[in-house]
Amino acid sequence: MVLTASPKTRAPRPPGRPAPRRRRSRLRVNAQVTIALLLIAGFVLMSLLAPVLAPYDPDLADGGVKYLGVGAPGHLLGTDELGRDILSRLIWGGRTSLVVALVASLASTVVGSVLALVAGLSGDRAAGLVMRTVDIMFAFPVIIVALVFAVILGPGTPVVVLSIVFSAVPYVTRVVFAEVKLQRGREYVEAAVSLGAGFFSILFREVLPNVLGQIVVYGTGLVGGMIVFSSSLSALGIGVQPPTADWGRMISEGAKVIITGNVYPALLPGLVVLVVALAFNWLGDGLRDVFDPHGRRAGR
Amino acid sequence: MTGALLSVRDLSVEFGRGPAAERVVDEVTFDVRRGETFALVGESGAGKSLTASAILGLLPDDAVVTSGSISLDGEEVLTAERSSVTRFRGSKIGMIFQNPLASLDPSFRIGNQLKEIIGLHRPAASKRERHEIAETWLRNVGIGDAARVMSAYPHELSGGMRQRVMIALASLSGPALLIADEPTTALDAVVQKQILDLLIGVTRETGGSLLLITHDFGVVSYAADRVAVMKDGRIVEQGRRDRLLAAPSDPYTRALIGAVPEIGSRARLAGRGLPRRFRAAGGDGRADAAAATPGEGAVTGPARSPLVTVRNVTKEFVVGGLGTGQRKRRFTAVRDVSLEIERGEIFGLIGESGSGKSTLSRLVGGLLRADSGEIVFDGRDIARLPKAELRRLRPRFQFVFQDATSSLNPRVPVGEQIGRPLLRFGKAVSRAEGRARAAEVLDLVRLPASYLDRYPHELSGGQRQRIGIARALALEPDLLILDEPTSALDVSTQAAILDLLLDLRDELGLTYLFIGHNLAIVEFLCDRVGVLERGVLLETFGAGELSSGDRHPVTRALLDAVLPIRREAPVAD
Repeated sequence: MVLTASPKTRAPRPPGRPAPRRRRSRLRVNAQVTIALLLIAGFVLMSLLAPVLAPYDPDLADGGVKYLGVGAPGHLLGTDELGRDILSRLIWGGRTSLVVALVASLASTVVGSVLALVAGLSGDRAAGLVMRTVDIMFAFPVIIVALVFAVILGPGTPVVVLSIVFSAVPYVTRVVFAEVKLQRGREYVEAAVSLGAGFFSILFREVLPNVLGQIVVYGTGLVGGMIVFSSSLSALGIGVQPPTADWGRMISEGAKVIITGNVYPALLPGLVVLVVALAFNWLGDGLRDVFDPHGRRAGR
Repeated sequence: MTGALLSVRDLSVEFGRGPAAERVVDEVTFDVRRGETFALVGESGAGKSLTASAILGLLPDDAVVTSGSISLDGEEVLTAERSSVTRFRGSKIGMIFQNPLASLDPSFRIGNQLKEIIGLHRPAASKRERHEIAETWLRNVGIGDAARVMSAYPHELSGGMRQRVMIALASLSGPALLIADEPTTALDAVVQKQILDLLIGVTRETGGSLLLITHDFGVVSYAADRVAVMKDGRIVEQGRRDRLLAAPSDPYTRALIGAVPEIGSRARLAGRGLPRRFRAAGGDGRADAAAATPGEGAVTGPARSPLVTVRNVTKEFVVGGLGTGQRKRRFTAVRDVSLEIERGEIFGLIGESGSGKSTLSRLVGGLLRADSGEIVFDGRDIARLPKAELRRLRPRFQFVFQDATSSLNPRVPVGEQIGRPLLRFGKAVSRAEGRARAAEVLDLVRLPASYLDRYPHELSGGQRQRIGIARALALEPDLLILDEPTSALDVSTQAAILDLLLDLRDELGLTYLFIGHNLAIVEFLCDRVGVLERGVLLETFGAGELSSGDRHPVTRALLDAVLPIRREAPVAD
C-alpha cells in the first residue's frame, strides 16, 4: 500500500533547490584547484629540473656583471650584488625552499593531528595533558627555539624544519582537536562503541574520515606561510647557509641592497614566494569547498 | 466569523527558473477566516513551511512565486512594496517557529528582546511603560515569575518557557494573523498541550486567527477549526476538522490518518482479528489475517527466564567543576532501578524528557557503567565485566538510535558500516562475505542490495533508520535497544518502521527494550511498560493496563497529555 512504498519514492530533501548554485560553484572551485595544482606542479618540476633549466651555476659570482636589470642580455632576470644570475638562483632555490616548506608542513600536520585525535578521544585527563603541553609550546618564542636547535644541531635545513614544526604543531593540534571533540559528541561514535569498535578503530576508521577534510585543508594552508617563515629563519642566519640558493636567503640578502636602488634581487624571489604561497592557499581553499558541501550537508 | 482574513489563491512557488525549475508549492488555495484556527497538515517536503514563508514574504532567494495571490485583510501581499511588507510582518502577522532557541537572540536578555519589539510598535511608550507591557505579556503567556524571566537569557529557560516567550513576542502587537510553524514539535507531550492551549487562548483574546502548521493529527484534532492536507506541494483535501477527521475523502488523507498511532488501536485490531500492524490499521482490507499474532504475548518459551535483569542500579553524573565555570554538583540520572526483561518481549520505557530513560538504556546496553547495582545479561553482570569481555558480549545487545542521521557515519558507505563489525567479531571472514551478509540484512529491512554503496546523506530519513536497524541486526543480537527510533520520522514512515520492528521480532525471535515518548506507540508495540520519573522506576505493568484506573499519577499525567484524534460524527453548524 501507499505507506510502505513511500520511503522509496520520497526524496531526502526538497531536491533541485540548491543544485544550480552548487554546480556553478563546483566549477569555479575546480578551476581554482586546477590552477593552483598547475602552478605548484610547475614550481616542483622547475626545481627538479634545475640542472637542466638553470642557465648558470647559481653560486657563480661574476664581479663584472653586478646588478644587471631584468632583461639584460644573457641574464634574463638580471644579476645580484655578487653578479650571480638571479634566474638560476631562483630555479635552484626552489629545491631548498619547497622541500623545507613541504616537509615541515606535512610533519606538523601529521604530528598535530595525531596529538589532537588521541587527546580528543581519550579521557579528559589525557586531553588536558596534551592540550596544556600545546599551550606551553604556544608560549615559546619561536626564535629562541630555533636558536636552541641551531646550537644543538648546528645551523642548517633541519633546524628550520624542526623550528617550523615546533611552532606549527600547536595550531594544528588546536584546530583538529576542536573538530575531533565535535565529532566525538556525535552519535555515530557511540554507535561504533556499541558495535564493538576499539579505540584505534574509532580513531582511524570512524573519526579520522570525518576530520580528514579539515586536516588537509589546514595543512595545505600552512605551506604558503611556512615558505615565508623559513625565509625569515634563513635570513637570521640559522637556516640555510650561504652560498646555497634559497628564496628566503635571496630576499634577505637582496633586502640589504635595496637601499642602493637595486630592487630586483629582493623583489623577484619575493614575487616567487608570493605566487607559491598563493597557489597553496588556493589549493587549501579549493579543497575546503570540495570537502565541505558534502560533509556539511550530510552532517546536519 | 465572516469573511476571510487571509486568502491564498492559486499560489505556486518554484525553485530555480526555466525548464529545470522545481515546483514545490502547486496552486495552493485556502482561506483563513477571522478568529479561526486553520491547520496546514502534511509530511516533510509537502510545502507547508514554504507556503507560510510566502505569506510572510520570507521565501529563500532562489524561490520564485510563479503565480497566484495572497491577500491579507484585503491588501495584496505579493505585490506590496518591501517597506509595507515589513510593516505587515510586525503588526498584522506574528510568526512562531519550531525551535525557539534558534529564533531568540542568545546574547540578549528576554526583557530587552521584548522591549525592543514593543518599542517598534509603540514608539511613544516610555521606558517604564515598555517594561510594564513586557511583564504583563509574560504573565499573559502563563509565566509566573515574570521578573526573573525578564532578566534571563534564552539558554537559561526550558523549551516550554522559551516557546511561551516566543508567543509573547509574536502576539504582543496584537497581530490579526499568527502563524505557528510546528510550535510544539520540539516539546514534551505535557508541555505541548499547555502551549497549544496558550496559542488558542492568546489568539482568542486578541481576536486574531491562527495558522497552524503541523505534521501531527493529534495537534490538528485538538486545536484546529478547519484543516488543509498538503502533499507534494498540493492541497489534496480541506474542510472542517470534524468532517475531515471522521470521513476523509482523499485516499492520502485516509492513509495518513491511518498511520497515526493511537491509544487503543491495538485492541481494536485484535478485536477485528487483524494482525498488530499499522498497515492493517490503514483499513483497506489488504492485511492478511494469516500473519496474525504469532509471538503475541510476552513469553513464547516454556521456561520464563529473563534475558536482562536489572537490580538496584544507580547512576550518577558529575556536572560542572574545574574549568567549566560552574559549581561542581552531582545529579542522579537513574536511582535504584530494578526490572526484568523477558526473552522475546518488548519492554517499553516511558517518561518525560530528562527522566533517565536514555541513561537507563545506555546502562543496559553497556555504553555507560553503573555506579552500583547489577545488570545481568544472560547470566553475566555487564556492570562489572572487564572491558575486553564486555566487548566480546556486545554483538548480543545492539542499539538503534533516535537520530539515524547522526548515528550513521557520514563518511562511510552503508555497506562498510554494516560489514565492518561483522569482520570484527569474526561473523564474516572476508570483506566479500561481510558484504554478502550486509546485503542479506538490507533485504531484512526491505532495502535493495544496491544501497550498500550509498552514503547516508543519499538516503531519506526512513531509509537511514532502516540502515540503522540493519546494522544492529547484522550482528544477530538477542536484545535490540531502541531509543525513540521513529521520533524524527514522518508518520507514514514511522508506521512502516514500527511494522518492520514487529515483523522482525517474530522472524528472528528478538527481544526489544523500547524507549518512547509517544504513549500510543508504546501501547501499540510493547508487551510491558515501565514508567520513569527523575530516575526512579515508578511502576511496571502490561501494556493493556495503560489506561487502567490504578495507574500512578505520573503515568496518568503522561496519558492525559496524549492528543487523540477525535472522530465523532460531523457536527452541523
